[in-house]
Amino acid sequence: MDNLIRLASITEAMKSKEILQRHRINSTIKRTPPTKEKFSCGYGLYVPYKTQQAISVLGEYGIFPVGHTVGEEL
Amino acid sequence: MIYFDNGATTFPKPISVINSINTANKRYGANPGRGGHKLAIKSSEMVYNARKITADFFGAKNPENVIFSLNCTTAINTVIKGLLKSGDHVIISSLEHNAVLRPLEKLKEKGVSYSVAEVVEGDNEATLSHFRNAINENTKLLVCTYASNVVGIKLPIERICSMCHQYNILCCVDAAQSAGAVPINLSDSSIDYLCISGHKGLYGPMGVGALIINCDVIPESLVEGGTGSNSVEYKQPLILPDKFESGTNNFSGIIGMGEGIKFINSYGQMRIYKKEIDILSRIHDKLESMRNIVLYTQRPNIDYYVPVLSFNVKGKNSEEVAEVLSSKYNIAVRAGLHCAPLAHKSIGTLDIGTVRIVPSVFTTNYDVNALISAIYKII
Repeated sequence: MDNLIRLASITEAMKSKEILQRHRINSTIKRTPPTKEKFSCGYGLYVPYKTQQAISVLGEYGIFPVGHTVGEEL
Repeated sequence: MIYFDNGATTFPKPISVINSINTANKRYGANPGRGGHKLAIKSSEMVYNARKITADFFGAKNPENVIFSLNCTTAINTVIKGLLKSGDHVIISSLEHNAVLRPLEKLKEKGVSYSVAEVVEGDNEATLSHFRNAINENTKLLVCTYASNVVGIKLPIERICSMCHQYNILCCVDAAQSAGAVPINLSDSSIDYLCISGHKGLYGPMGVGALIINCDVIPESLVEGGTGSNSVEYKQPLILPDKFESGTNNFSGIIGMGEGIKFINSYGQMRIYKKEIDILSRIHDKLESMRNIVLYTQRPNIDYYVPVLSFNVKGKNSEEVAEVLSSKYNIAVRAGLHCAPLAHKSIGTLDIGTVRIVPSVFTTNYDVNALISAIYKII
């Protein structure tokens, strides 16, 4: 899935969604598929718009995604 | 039944708590933090909200620093067994519960030692001095109750913890009897680990508690397993709260505990605290005026006590008094040692125990009068 920010836990995903909401960035929590990527298989945020901005915002709060896919932003 | 056994668990629970548990089970019963379907996401969101409510209530740094556990005992065990190694020394108070004493006794087999610092009622300087004198070069951890579950005496926790920090000693506080009952704010506190019970002063259901981590030293996990995260790795995730929350949590219990905190916030924590202390002060006054009654503390006040009062009837075993109160007057109190032999040794009641009275927000004047009248008839 494109525009998916992978996070380390469901708690981090919930917290990230809340932070993005405060910054007016919509996101949806999704279960991420298992991969061999370190810290994968858990939850992530589907951020259809402003995905890169979302990653930057989360970084400001000390949340660093364990991976992400950025497709064509809708 | 007239219920004064709120130190064991508060009863009744607020209607809002009961309704939240029912709703959680009826409408949102999916396993939180596991599946990706809508219901699982919804239940995860509810757990996260309860985590956030708990974090806000206790001034925790982050919601993820709130680790849900089965109860306060499990939280205390996590800190004690997750931090201590052979050669380490621990300081505890003379009022500790078995939740602290027994894990340390167990660790004695592995080379951990502990010292008991005497708590002196009404003399915080002396208490502090006893803690200071117990420190040695191997002291790694202080484990201390916020207030006695037998006599309600509050310890000068902040002063003790600040003093311990000067010696690089970590501080773990057992707040089983205090969480919810008295304001505790970790944001300006020297407490490193706060262990709480969900079903007492927080008015949640039984079977839920939490460890709140307020420092950068993270204990080792005691239980490893599925967390719903990082599943490809064989090793336990290090991220909080997943490191300590293996296996399925007590979903409805957590929701109920969160709702209990909301209930306290809506009623007013200080309002509840003052009401309960006022009830105990009145009972203390009445008991003090009766012949053949032994009291173990001064008149309770909000500066030095949590709402817990112990007494005995001269010449009678505490269990005998509790039995008569229950069978003849339909009044529930807790007798015996309250799982705190150290505290009873300290007040000289190891042989007979005490009768413990703990009110709640739901205690009425009628309840108080009925209790006093019944005790008067017993003596």
